[in-house]
Amino acid sequence: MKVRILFFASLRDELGDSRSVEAVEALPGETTVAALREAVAALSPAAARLGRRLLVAVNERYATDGDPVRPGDSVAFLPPLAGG
Amino acid sequence: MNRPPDDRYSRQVLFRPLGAEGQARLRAARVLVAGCGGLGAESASLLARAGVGFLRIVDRDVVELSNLQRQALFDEADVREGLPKAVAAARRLARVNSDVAVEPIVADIGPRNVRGLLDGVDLVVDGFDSFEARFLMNDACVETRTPLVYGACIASTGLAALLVPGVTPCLRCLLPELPEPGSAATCDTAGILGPAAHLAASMQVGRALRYLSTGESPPEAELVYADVWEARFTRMAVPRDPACPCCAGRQFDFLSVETPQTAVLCGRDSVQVRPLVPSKPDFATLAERLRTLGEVVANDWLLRFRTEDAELTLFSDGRAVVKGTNDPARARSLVARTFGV
Ligand SMILES: [Zn+2]
Repeated sequence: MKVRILFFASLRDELGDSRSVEAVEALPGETTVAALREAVAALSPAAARLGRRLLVAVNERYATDGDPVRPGDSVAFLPPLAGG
Repeated sequence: MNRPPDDRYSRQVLFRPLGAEGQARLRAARVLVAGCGGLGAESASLLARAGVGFLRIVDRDVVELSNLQRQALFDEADVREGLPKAVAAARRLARVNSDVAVEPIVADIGPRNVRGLLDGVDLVVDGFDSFEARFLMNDACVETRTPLVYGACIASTGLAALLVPGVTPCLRCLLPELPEPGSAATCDTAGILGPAAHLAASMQVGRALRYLSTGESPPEAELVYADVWEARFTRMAVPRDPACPCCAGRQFDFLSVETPQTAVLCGRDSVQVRPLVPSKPDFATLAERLRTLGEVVANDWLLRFRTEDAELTLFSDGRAVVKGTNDPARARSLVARTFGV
């Protein structure tokens, strides 16, 4: 299934503002944050490098690997920032 | 100024959620600004102007020309004088708002001194430039139940969130997988736009003023994440992690880490060397001895010694920063040779 994901910071440099990403379904019409992470890591070296350190927001809530994602959910991938 | 004190804060008191009562609370508040770079300098300025009664500003660095693009608290005279950022900030803020007591401390925040720096402080504003320092402060804040306003920025992006121990998540709830040391881009390697730093600092101080003036915090952290170049914003509500080793398990890993003697300051062609036993160097005697060997600048807070291939800065807490190398061994040997420590 396809899920639209918003990208920020270093991920935006590689993938653009947003992209529709194909992810493996866990249940019919439903995928997981872990599957999205994997799909994005295949497209972006920055995402692959960050791995599970990448913050994922689903409908503006912090999401962890097991959390479900459905088409139409608002998903954002946010790299942690170190500078100051 | 012989105007009533109300005049200074009148525009802020008119803002109803803050009001006169909130202003009185700000006046009684004590804040630690941890790091005085792009985030910390702007935060310190906003907090002092808002009338927060006491600011402890801690920073390990000296004002450099490359800071002036975004750190509005500093100017060219500070660079010429070779002033530590904490001292330059305190001087400037004394001219901005003499009601505010500012305590400048030139030091590197580590496991040894962090609890002392938190003493008597109501809230910490994060002005750090590394994850290591942030996780250390998070441990110390959770241990002492001191609220921490997390903030960070890089390139055109900034973020901020208020973390209140016992109420909201802590930094380790948000980032359970610790970044590998040196893996993340810093402002010295990926660059930083002034507006990104200022936006993150403004969001941080917004959280700080609200918390200090009302004492209220929502139970979840609201992380705000923004890009000033693309004009995009997003936010994320973060719940507590019931399995968090820090705020749930009260296991403070970073407070017990021994700080290594040397640290490569990434992207700055510099290495910091910490003394094994901290002690205050005798700048006058050293300056006299070194003057015959190279160019020496000394003031109350530091001594800088320049030769053809390196620049060494010795601070009053015994730390030295060697510019012109990324090699810890060479840095240690230069420090030993030059300062005899
Ligand atoms: Zn936690």
